[in-house]
Amino acid sequence: MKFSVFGAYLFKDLFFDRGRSFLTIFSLTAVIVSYLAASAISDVFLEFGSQPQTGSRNLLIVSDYALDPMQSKLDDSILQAAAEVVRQEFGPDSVLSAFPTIYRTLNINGRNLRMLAVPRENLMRDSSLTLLEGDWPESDEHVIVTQEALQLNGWKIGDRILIRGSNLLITGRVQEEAARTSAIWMTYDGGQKLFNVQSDFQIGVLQIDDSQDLTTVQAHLEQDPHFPTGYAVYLNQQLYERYTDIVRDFLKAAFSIAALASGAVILGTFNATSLTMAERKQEIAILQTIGFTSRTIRLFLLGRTHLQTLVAFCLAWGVMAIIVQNSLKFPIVFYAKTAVLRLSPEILFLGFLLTMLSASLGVWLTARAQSSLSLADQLRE
Amino acid sequence: MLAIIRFSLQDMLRHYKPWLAMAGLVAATNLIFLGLGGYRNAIQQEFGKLPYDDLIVQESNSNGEFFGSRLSPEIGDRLLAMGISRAIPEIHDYTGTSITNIIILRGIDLERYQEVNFFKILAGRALQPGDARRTAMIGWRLADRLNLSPGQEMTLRGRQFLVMGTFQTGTYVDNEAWIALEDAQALLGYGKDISIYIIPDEGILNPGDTLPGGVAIVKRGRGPQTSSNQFEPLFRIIELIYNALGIAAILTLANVLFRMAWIHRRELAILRCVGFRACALVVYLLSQALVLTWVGVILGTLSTALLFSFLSTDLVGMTLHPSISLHTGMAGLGQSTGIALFGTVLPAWWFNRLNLADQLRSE
Repeated sequence: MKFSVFGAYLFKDLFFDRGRSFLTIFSLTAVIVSYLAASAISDVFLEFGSQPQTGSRNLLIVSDYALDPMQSKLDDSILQAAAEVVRQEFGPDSVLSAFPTIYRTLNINGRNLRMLAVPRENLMRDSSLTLLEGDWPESDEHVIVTQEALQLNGWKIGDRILIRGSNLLITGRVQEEAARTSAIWMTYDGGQKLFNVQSDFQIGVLQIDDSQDLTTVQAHLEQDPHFPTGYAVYLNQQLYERYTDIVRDFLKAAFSIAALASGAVILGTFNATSLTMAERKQEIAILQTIGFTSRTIRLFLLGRTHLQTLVAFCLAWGVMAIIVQNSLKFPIVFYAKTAVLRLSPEILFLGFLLTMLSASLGVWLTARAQSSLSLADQLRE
Repeated sequence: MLAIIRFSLQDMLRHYKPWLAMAGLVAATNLIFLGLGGYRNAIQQEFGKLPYDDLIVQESNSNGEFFGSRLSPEIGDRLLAMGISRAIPEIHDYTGTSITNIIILRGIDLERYQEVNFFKILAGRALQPGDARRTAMIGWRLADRLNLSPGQEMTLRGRQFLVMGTFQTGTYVDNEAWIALEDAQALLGYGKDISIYIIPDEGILNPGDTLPGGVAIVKRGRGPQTSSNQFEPLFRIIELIYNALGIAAILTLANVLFRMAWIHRRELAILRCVGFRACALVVYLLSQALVLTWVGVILGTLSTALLFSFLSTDLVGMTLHPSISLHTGMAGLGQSTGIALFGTVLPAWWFNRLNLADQLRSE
């Protein structure tokens, strides 16, 4: 059969049965939307559950008992001692800089947010921050804010925010290299005043020269007897990775939902396609009687089903795109780490594959059941 | 009418495959509904309204009822000087180096903690003034997690503490270990500092007030509530999945019912001709829909119960135990019945529009 004849017959048939074709398409759309939404949630949790590798050359020193960096406490003598251990072993130029960081988890507008205070030159140079808009902090009352924090709290550059009784001016919008976190950065002097601290801080940062292997330096520091006891050394991603454990169990739940939605998409598609076939047993038998081969009929039915599934998938994609766009206003935030729903190409591809496969399965199983009957039996049904 | 129902159910059994798939879809919808409800209930129970009317004095912008607040003892003196009748100090923090060994810790003033904390002792006894150093009382969930009972020792940051008793409050607090304030100060390196003061709501200070030095007054229980609110965006999306599946179930059901009725359009038309009224079609469709959705509800409820029986969720040292409440179960049944009703309306309306003579001629 010519492709044009095949196509014309297909469209005519769908048009003739348009009421139920629309019903089938809409029910498939709803099933596919639920699958895509569930997969997108799993993706969000995957994002929470993984800390991306960065090009950071920083080693972070914190108290060994601290789960949250905010629990850590060290002073400059510890930081300098650690820097000296590295210089002794790896050469005087192995440590590019050693600087303190004040770290707090704050609750602002009912949401957790990280606040970090770093000496200004290190903030600009060594903190893996990219200034997207505005200026770096010039004074103790200036802060720069990640775009996630700006978006979550509805702030903009030039706004003043009240933290611990101080009116801080937002001078810039930044992006962190490592992860999407809701964070405020300020100068170390500003942090000392804001949190009323003298010489102690939470994280000591050693910036290691490019020529050194970061993990080797870390391993050496942890084993060197001159490294102060009661402290631990982390790579950037290792320190924050521990937060991701927090959502470990929710990751399981999200995967369960995605698996459930996959099951639903298979059942829903199978149902819609197999019923179309069951209802047309007689017409199919008539077509076979007048000379259509069973292969042609199966192809026709497959084409019909795939066309409906394709339209449903495109509709579902559109609906999900609108949902994703709207969900940007309500990001999911756990412990200052932010994630938003998104439709990755992998999710779309897998969803498309699943729906098409289950649609084909529906056609194949029903066609197989029907072909086991004689033509006369089919006509009598 | 019974004849129609019997005919409808016999027909359902004859074409059981699409009905099984349909029941699976309803079960999946029900499972997500009950799962979501179970988690919402668990979070509401753990972090919802606490039975206290007190206020908390904490470091500004902190979540002092969990951790992150640190106040000097002078704040307590200042509160009393303002005329506050009592300011009971507590330390709220946690120990552990990973999510698997985290323990939520509360340092309590042994003289006065029972004035502001309600609990039931399940085993052993409560801590009391004059108890030896390094003694603890622990919530039943923590006792369960660490397999501890009174008389045994537990380790907090490398130090051994003797468990004197286990308690129950019915909230997230059941995951906590309580030790004397002085022990907590020594263990956590607080010096003389504390985390929060619990004060009565006497009108002298109100929620939202601030004190110089970055000190804020909040309603007791607000911190846990704020923490639980973190889940709302997630729940909203899961709700979206549930709604989409619900719509899919209604449309697919309508589709299945219509197609089943279409296959038997001649038999149904004959029934009309021999005296059955138009509502017989509705009964035919609705009986199939109700049986199907109720089978789906039973499957969904059993699967959820099975899932909940081995699924507990650890969350920063707290264990959530979702469960199906009677209210959620009934709501799930109601919604599934709604699916059956909505799914029946469209094919019934559609089919009743068809000409009876055409249906009789259909073979």
